[in-house]
Amino acid sequence: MKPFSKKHWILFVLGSSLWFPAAARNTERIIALADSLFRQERYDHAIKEYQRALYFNPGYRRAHITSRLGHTWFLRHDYARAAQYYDIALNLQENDSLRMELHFRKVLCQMLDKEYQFALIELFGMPETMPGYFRKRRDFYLGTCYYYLGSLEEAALAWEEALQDAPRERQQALNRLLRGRNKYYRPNPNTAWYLSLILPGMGQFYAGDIRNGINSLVLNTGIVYLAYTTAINYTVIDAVVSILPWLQRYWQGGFMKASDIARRKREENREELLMEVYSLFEEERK
Amino acid sequence: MILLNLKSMCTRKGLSVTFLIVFLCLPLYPQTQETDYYNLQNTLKFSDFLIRTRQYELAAQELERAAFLAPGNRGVQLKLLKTYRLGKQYHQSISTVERLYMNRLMEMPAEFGKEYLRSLILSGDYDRADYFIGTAGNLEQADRNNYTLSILLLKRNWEEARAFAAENLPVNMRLAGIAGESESIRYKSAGLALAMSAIVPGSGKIYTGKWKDGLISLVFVAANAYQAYRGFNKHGIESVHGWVFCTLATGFYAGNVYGSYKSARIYNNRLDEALQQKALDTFRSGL
Repeated sequence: MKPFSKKHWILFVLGSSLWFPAAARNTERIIALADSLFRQERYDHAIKEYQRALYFNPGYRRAHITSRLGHTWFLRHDYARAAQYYDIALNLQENDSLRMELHFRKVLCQMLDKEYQFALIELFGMPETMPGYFRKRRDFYLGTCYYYLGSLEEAALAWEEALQDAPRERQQALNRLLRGRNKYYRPNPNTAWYLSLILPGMGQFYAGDIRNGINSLVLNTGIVYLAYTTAINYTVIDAVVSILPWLQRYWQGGFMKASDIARRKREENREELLMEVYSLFEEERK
Repeated sequence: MILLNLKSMCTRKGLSVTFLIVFLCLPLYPQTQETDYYNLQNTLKFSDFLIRTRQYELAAQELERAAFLAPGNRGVQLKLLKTYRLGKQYHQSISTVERLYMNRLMEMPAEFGKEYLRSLILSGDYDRADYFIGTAGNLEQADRNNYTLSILLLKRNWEEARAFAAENLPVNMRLAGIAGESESIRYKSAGLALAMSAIVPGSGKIYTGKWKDGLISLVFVAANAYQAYRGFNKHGIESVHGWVFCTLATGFYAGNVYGSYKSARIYNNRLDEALQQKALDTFRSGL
């Protein structure tokens, strides 16, 4: 008999199979179940099963599980936890494209959580050179962060950078949206405040709230008329003492409210403008 | 089969190779055994992890399964009740106890009784909690006292709580301290605030600590009342000016009187709420 016979080979193969532990097989089954639950959109159960796999076999397919946990928490709108898992997953991922994708998802979670400063730090930490698709995406995210942080100029620069390879008409459309007079700064709450200070209701009209404008105008006109009749029939001091507190209350209330209305309206306009910019990028993606 | 092969392979030359293979592979044999991650032991381990990471709802789902796998295991049942409570699923906790001890609620072990009481109290079902304290067979006297005192404090029955803490020993010192603190609460009389504002507009609000509101009210009512007086004095009862200011002054006066009454009630409620919150925090942190 040879020292390493056919039977030795059989024994060797059987013995080698022991190296693939049952724990891995079991974890694989749990992951398959979790993936199936994820596909069925039963996210609560999927989260539990992924966590079970991670808990009992922490080193097994960790990159896959943590990225799936990130997706699941993302779909449950828990962006802080999603970012946490994306962060673990991207550090484990060996494939460059997938790692980049996870990094962008992490940034998206931070943006959805309104953590724009942290998102900017992540974006600046990305490699300088990257494939065109990811570069455009980074510039778009950069622009969005700047936009929400109140710097339209920097947002415009980042978005222009992202659209530099786009057709000329799309670049012009972006320029039209962002340069010159645009929705980003309008209506100006300070202007609304001053307008209502000069003539009650004007600030509300300027901000586009006609109903509140008429209300403020009529109320304050009535009070002024009352002050006028009081001053005519009695004395100016009588008018000042009795009417001024009312006038002060409604007039001051009016211009404070005009400023609030303008601020709210400006937020709506900014959202609309961002959607218009986003649609340009959507067209570009198609 | 392997043993048979071993026998046939035990030639002089093959022996060392066979021995080497067996020697390398045998230690790995235990890991070929299937590990069931859903068995009772692993389920409990995993539920502990979920509790530690404060995922109480998911932990409760695991413990429900553990309770099913180990019917009658009191440790598991108790952990399940606790997890429901920590996850603020009080009604689930209550219904689980009632399912476990159907028709013999009063005979349940003390630990279950305490968990049941905690959930009843935290869900605000004080009447059932009171009844259970009075009828449960296995509760110790100290526990009965503590839970009764907690209920009195959470219901803001300060006087009764003080009397109870003084008459019934032993009692939790922190709860007794809160009951004692209630004696130093200085309430504002809503009736007095109302009367004060009725006599001098705004004074009721000043009494409840809102001196700015009070002063503005005083100026408003006085100025408008004075204008109404001037109007009626000059043009008699038909004075439009007088009626306009009279209406304004009356409206503001009535609003201020009612506002003072309400302000005193809000002031008192805030004091009660602060002490009630303290009692609730103490209760939650465990008696």
